[in-house]
Amino acid sequence: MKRVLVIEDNDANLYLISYILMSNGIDVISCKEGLPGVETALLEQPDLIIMDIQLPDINGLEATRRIREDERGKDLVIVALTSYAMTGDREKALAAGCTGYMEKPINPERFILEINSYLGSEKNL
Amino acid sequence: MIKSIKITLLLFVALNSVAIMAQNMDRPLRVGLYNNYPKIYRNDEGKPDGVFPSILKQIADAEGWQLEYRFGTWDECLGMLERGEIDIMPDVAVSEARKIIFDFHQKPVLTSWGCIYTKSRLDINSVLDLHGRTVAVLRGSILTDGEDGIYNLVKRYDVECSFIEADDYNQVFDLVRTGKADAGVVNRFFGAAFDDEYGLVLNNFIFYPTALGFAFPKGASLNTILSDRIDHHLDLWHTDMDSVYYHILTEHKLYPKKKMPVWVVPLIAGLAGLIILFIILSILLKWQVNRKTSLLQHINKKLSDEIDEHHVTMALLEKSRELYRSFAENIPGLVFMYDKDSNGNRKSLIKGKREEEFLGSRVGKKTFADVNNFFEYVEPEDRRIIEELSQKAQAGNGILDVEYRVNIDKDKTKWFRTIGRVTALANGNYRWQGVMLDIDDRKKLERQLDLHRKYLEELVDSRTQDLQLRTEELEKANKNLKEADRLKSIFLASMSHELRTPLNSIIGFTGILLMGMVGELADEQRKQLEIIKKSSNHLLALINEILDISKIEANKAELSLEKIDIKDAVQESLSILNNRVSEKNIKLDYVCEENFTVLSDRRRISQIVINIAGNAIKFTDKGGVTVTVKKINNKFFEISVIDTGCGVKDEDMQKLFEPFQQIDSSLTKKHEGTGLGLHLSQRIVVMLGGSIRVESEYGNGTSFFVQLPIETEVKIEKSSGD
Repeated sequence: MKRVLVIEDNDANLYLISYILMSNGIDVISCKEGLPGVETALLEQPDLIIMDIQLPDINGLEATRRIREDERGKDLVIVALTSYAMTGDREKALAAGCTGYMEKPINPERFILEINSYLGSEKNL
Repeated sequence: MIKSIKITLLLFVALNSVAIMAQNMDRPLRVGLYNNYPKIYRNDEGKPDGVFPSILKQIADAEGWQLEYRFGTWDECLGMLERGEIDIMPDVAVSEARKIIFDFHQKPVLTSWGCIYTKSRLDINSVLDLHGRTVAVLRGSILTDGEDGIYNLVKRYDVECSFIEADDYNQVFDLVRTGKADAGVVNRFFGAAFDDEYGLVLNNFIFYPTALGFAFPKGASLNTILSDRIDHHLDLWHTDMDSVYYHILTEHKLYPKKKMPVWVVPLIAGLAGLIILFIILSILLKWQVNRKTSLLQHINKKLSDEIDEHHVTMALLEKSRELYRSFAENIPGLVFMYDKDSNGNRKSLIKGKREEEFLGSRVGKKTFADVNNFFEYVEPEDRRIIEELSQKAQAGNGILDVEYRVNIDKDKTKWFRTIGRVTALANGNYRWQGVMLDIDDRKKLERQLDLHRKYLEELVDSRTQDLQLRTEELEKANKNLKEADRLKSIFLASMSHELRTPLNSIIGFTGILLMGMVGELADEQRKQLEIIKKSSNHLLALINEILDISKIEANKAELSLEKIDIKDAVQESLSILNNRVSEKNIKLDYVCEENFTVLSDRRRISQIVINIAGNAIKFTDKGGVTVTVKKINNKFFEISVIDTGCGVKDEDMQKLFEPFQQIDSSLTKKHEGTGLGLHLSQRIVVMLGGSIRVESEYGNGTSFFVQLPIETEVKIEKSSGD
């Protein structure tokens, strides 16, 4: 079973993402702040990390950089959640070390397709 | 006492002159020599010869003088004489003109006169017979241009003849012999000596008898003794027919000595002596009379000239007086001239008639009587100014220019201006002269103007202050507005973000429910959830566009530039609109004949295309929409969107790009949209460095033309504080 770490401070969004992932048979672990997120990512070594950009302590970009600085975080797959009209967020995310990005708001149908492609799974709804 | 000094002085002068004389006689006398045979000439041995040298030698031998000849032409010799380079010049005809530049002794040595020679007998018996003839003359000779010379004679008698001037008498005779001249003028000596040689004939007309003698430089110290001694000898010789004088004349063929009976000789000699004596006497007499007459004439002329001159001067004076009077009476001012002594007392030098006219009867009369009175009527304050400026003028450049008031009457004051010049006189006084002008009218005008000016200045000052206040207020307001605008944009930007976060979950969960992930939905549930989805998507689009506009307005928008294949990029954007096109059953054509790469912001271009093309689709019910992409030039490419929709009215064209302005409010319900699309598109186009243009005919569709740079320039972001 694949395991995804969701780092997201907004409860509603965290629930939405977790629900979609779990509905598709993916194990979800989550953090609501950046620093614990980094810690968890390095310890748990998830198959995919979904990283929100706006977080209460350190932002998603900083968290990504910290994960990549660590030997254990080098090969982790990190996908940033960026907002429409926030020009530059994607570039900044890639520059910080993210593997890719997804746009908010989430369209559940497209979201699950993209997640699966990152997890390298053939599984479909 | 004084007398004795005078005598001593005279004695001294006399002795001194004797000393000079004696001293001068120590050296040889310098004598001029020129060729005028037989009177004077240089003989074959180069020695001086002729009548004059022979006579001078006799006198010199008797007096113990030494002679030293200087040879030259006639002109040269006269030049030497004039400059005092020779002491004696022989063979000079006495004339009034020459007496001015030379001194002469009294007794003539020879008497000469002018003779006319012709080739054949022409019977020239008077000057009138020369009419129409060509006459050869000697240049500079007294016979030619002397007082009674041939030039003056022909002029006097209105005889018209032409002259040829020759350098010597030989040339004169040569001209006659060769026929170049009809007649030649020579002196009697030359004529007698050479007429046979040239084969010429003497005519009866003779003129201008002149006494020939020795001339001396004007005023030379030797002249008195030389002339005295020469006259002394000549006097002796003239009376003695056997004297050396007559021998010399005979020797030079000037006094005929022919073989005749013995008795004839004394008779002829006696007769000749008598005739010569008579001639000499008559010539002498004529000479004296001429001299006196000319002297008298001279004095007479001088007197007459003086009288004429006096008349002219008087006339000029009278004219000048008249001019001055006219000037002083007509000048638009009062002319004055007075001397001021050290006590400050003024004495007028001219009496005018215009004081009353100028200063009124009270002041005018007093001033006319005594110029000092005038100053009593000058306003005391101004009097001090005049005094001060006068002192300044006296000490400085001498010019006074002052304006002052005069109390013309008990209760009437008038303004005057005086422009004057002061000069210091030898006696220590000062002379003031100038003109006084009435400037009362001008002053009145100036006063009025001054009042107006002051009023205007005050007006301008108060208006300027008002304006400054207004400007300050406006500046402040403007600053506040700018700041408020910026704050509004920042507020909207963060607002939108906050609004979007809850919207994310609404859209997300609605999607999950609609997907049936949670469970099967009843039809009504699905219908309502679709409404939620549509509404929240609309809300999201609205928020996103507000966010975009706010960012652009707050200068916080950033461009993400990359190389884009424009053909594919536009195609991709249009594909999003495919659903809407097929729903409306219209056509969407895309034309891009040439693919090319642009450096731009992919998402922004997509926004523009979706907004404008989406807009076109929205308002087109029949026909379709054509989107064309092409290069315009090296710098720009164009995206045009042409529809066959309802078109835009002329008066609505202006509103097209304004936010929340859907043209026809009746259409609003039918054509739902954010109302921000075109406004945002225009802002983006400008941000990218391009331009947007619309053409439309109401009822016949609309065309949008967006021009964008092929290479978008990277803008340097302004600081957020702006």
